[in-house]
This record gives sequence, C-alpha cells and structure tokens, in this order.
Amino acid sequence: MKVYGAILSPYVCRVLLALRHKGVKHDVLMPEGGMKTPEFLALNPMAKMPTIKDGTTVLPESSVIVEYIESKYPKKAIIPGTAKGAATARLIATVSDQYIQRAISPLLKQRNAKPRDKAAVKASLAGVQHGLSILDGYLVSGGPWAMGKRFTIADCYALPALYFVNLITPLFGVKDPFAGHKKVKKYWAAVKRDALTKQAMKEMKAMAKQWFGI
Amino acid sequence: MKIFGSALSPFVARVILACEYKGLDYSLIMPKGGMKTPEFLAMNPFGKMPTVKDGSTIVYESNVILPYLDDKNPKKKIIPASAAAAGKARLIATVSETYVQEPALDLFRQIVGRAPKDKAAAKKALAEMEFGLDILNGYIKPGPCATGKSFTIADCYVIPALLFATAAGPVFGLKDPLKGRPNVKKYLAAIKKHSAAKAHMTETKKIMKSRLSAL
Repeated sequence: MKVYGAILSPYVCRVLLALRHKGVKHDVLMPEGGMKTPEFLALNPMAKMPTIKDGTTVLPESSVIVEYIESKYPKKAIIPGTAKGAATARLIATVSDQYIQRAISPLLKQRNAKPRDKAAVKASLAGVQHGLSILDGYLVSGGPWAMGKRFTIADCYALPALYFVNLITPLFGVKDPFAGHKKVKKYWAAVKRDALTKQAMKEMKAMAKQWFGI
Repeated sequence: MKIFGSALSPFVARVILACEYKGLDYSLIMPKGGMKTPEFLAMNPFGKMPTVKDGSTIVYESNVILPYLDDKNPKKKIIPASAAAAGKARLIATVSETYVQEPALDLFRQIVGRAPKDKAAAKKALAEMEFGLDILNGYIKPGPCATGKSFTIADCYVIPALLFATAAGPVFGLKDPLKGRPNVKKYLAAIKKHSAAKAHMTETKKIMKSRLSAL
C-alpha cells in the first residue's frame, strides 16, 4: 500500500498508526511536485494528505482510510467487536478529532501572528480544555490504551491530537495542558513508553523541528 | 429507540434516513428545556443533536451513531461488506459532509441570522460549496442511490447536504446549484422517489420553504 503524506500531519499519523499496529506493509511518500499536480489530483481531487493507493483502491480522507484498513486487514482489530464497544471507540476518536484536534489547529496559525488574536487564542485554549475534559471522562481507568488493554481506533486519533496539544499550548503560556485531567495524564505517560507510539512521536518531533522550528 | 433532535438538523436527518431504510422503530423527541439542561448534558456532555437512547445505551455524534445502528441491527446494512465498497460509500458521505454541507450551513447561518451578514464570507462559502458539488459529482452515481443500486450510509449524508445546498444556493445568486453537475442532478431526481427518503425529503423541504419565506 502507498500512503501519500507525512507523519506530522495528524491525519496521516492516524493512518500510519493503524497500519503499523496491524503490521500492514506500506510505503510513505510525498507526491512528486506537490499535491496540485494533475497526477495527484486524479488520485485525490481535494489535494490533501493522507491519500492511499492499495492495489486499485484509491482513497482520500483519514476517517475513510482508517475504516478501510480495518475492514481490509481485520487481523489485530482496532474496532471492538460489540456494537457498544465500537461506538465508544469511535466516539473517543470523534471527540479527539472534532473537539481537540479542531480546537488546537487555529493555535498553529496564531503562533507567528503579530499581533496574536487574543480572543481567538483564548477560545482555542478553552476549547482544548473542554475537549480534554470530555476525553478524560471516556478513557478507561488503568489503561494503558484509551479503551483499556487493546490498541484501538481511539488511540489512532487521540495520540496525534494530544501530541499537538503538548507541542503547541506551551507556546501560549500553558505549563501543563493535561493538568486536571488525571486519566489523560496517565494515558500520555503510557503512550510515551510504548514502542509503537514512542517511535511515531519521535518522528513527529523531528519533523516539527524541521518544518516549524518548534 | 429515542432520537433526540429535530428533523431539520442535517445531522439528525442522517440518523432518521438510516432508521427509515432499516425499518427501525424510533421516536423523534426535542428534549424539554433544550439541550443544555443538566439532564440532557448528563446524556451528551456536548449538548448536541442527534443523541440516541437505545435501551440503556446512549450514543451521540452522527458519525458514531450510523455505524452503531448497523452493528446493532445487521439487517439491511448501510455499510457495504467489502472494504473497497465501504470505502467508496464512506468517501461520498465524508465529501458531502465536509465539502458540501459545511459551506452550505455557513450560508444558511447567514440566511437565518445565526451569523452576521458578510458578503465576503458568503462568496467564499459559495465557492467552496461549488467546489464540493464538483467533487461530489465526480464520485456519486446518477442513481438510484449514491453508490449505485443499494441505499447506503452515503445516501444518509448526501441527502441532507443537498437539501441545504439547493436551498442556500439561490439565496446567494446561484440559481441552480446542480447545473453542470449531471450526476448529482440525476441522483437527486432519483433518490426523491426512494421509499427510505421520500417522506423525509418532502417534509423537510416543506418546513425549509415555510421557514425561509417567513424571514
């Protein structure tokens, strides 16, 4: 399988975590000449990463790709087998996406803005804290993963979201973004110890330094 | 099963369409006192619709509810069994949500006064919506359903997105948002007649029309 994109994109990271967890062979590449070439637009008219090519199947959009990977490569499942378990795992993924990842993104733009839009920064930071408190309510106590003993789709989404919270909020004066969110704090400590997630974060860190100087 | 929300919300509409297709019993309820009461927030901390109560299970976020309905009631699946077909259906759903419905809702908020009138923002949203409709036209089948023969999760997302896009476009000078998008146009003409969609679409259009003319 070919994955177009780079791991620092939280959307690409979700896909790579799912593939690495399952041990599905894949190559990660940046499209030659960028994402606006006719060749790449034929694969993904939205011109975004990630995009995958698996045999004749071409798919854009991380949420679509992760579900595809689970369905095509069912070994080491990342979606629980019961309707309720699956809903909880997908809910944690959605909370991470809609309420944490989305809240943090405007901060990335404000980082170098002069002057910074104080109201926008404040709203973003409050949004992140609200998202974290909701996430904290859903994480399974005792972990190590979001849903307990097994790595799931919830982790594919939560991990890059938390990585960005930890990377960006200190630039806006937040000392410990996970303070007051006990389970999130424990979860974060656990994912830093795991080989798979530790490696992913190491790669993201190197890329963040190279791309953004942070 | 109880669905909390209004049929006019495109997010709620997805759940209604899935239930209609699958033939599930449901009642549509607006929570007493709104969605920010302690009682409602105890069910859904985001205070949003749709929220579903199925026995003792509470599920919210339409993206979570639809796969839940399919897992729980495996008859008449809306998510195709093969990975590739499911991927295609989900892709049409995601394109409808992100690239058609989001800008259409931005326009709608200006129409109903939930967002300040802003010509530049409207122009941008309209261009985004047109882009989204072009993308959708490339992926959607001309009927009877969005992925071809069978009703899927794609239809649950496309229908409300198109209802909002076709209602919002003309208000901002885009007379026929489906012009030059033949697959979308043929699709909409066909899906109107589908038993899972007919009642919902007729009713929603009627309410939209009366709300818009009352402005």
